[in-house]
Amino acid sequence: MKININNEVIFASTGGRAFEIKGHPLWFIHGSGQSHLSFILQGRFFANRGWPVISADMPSHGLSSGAPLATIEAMSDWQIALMDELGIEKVQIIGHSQGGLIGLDMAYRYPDRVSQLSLVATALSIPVNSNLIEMAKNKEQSAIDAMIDWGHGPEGHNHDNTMPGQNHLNFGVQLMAANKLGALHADLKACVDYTNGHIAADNISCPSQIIIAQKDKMTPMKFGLKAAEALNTNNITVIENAGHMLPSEHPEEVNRALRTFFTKS
Amino acid sequence: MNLYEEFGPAAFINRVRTEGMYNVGPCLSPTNAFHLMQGIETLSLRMDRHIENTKKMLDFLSSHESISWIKHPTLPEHPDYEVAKRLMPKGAGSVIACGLKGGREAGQSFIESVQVASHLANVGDAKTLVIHPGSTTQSHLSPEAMKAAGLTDDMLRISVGLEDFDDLKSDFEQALKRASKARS
Repeated sequence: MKININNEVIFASTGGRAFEIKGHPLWFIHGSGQSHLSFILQGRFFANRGWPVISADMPSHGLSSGAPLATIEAMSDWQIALMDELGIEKVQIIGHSQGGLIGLDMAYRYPDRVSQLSLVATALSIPVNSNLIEMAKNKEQSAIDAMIDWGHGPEGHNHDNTMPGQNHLNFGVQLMAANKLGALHADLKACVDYTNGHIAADNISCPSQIIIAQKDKMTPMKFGLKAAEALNTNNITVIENAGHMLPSEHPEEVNRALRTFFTKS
Repeated sequence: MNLYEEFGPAAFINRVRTEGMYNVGPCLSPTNAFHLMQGIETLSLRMDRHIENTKKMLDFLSSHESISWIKHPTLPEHPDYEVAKRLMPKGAGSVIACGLKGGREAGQSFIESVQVASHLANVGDAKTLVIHPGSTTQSHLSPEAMKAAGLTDDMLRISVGLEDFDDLKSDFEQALKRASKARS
């Protein structure tokens, strides 16, 4: 659906089903240079089983207009503005990669708006190689190609897809290339600049879950385990042979893990 | 649901999966797969025969007194003749359209009179198929709509099959004879 936030028209996927607030909706937050499409197979899975789902494209991403947001905190504020616009009091967050940092920040700074937090292939901080940031600025397509290459595990590279006919790498490249120019660069810079992850994790009291990709080259497994430790959660799922693009690469395992964690109203 | 919003670059494959799957099911049955594979093995042989019979049928119909016009991409007067020659040098399929003197009545009589050929609405079969769109598949159209669709009352569509051509020829000869009686 199209929604007006801060005078910009943005798009939020509802998983292909009409959205109706029931309890605490599942609130998907995409990663750097991604869009709602990285969560297609989660959004549809839950929406088709009666869960209220929102998976928004952040400004400059996917089908949303507006300038890209520069900091993780600004992204959190934007997500809260979207919740306000939709009249939603509390959500259950699923954040992938950079979306995990936003989820952490939301649960820390807006504790009364987040009931549960699931972090998928993420960490408490995401330092990004300066060459990649430079590439995202000057040669965006090369940065996208590199990220999609590193972002998929061995099975993703071998076209092992739960959706026959789809190619992970081509889909990933097209998904990222569909964002507006500059969105990826702004996202990567925001990740580098965010240093409050540890403070946030120490102060978050809502239940949390960590889903880790065993072969993640972008937010390696050890950082996911550290995040779990800081959040004091033992709800940890490690998905074998998976790369960073977990939600699209291993959707069934991710959905299974999410389903056991979240509460349906 | 807007497929582009929902699936982005994967919109088309998902349309194929959702709509195609609803219509034809998620997978081919083993028997159908076997038939398809076996059919493909002899496709090139059958195409040669389709083309050979089509050429003979074109010669036969072109010189027949009951036929007022004939259309096939391998005939020089066809608007796509040059394209067909370039893209389909070995032959341009086995579907022929032709006009039967005597219009609708003659056409109807012809399709009811054939015995070797079958009166069916599909094309490309191993059997020769004939249809008279004006009195069957397109009979619901107004004369203006028929004209706009490039159809005429006297038009026959023939999908030439693999039969021995002499059998086909004598079948067409007797059916055309009956059709000519219908108009007179």
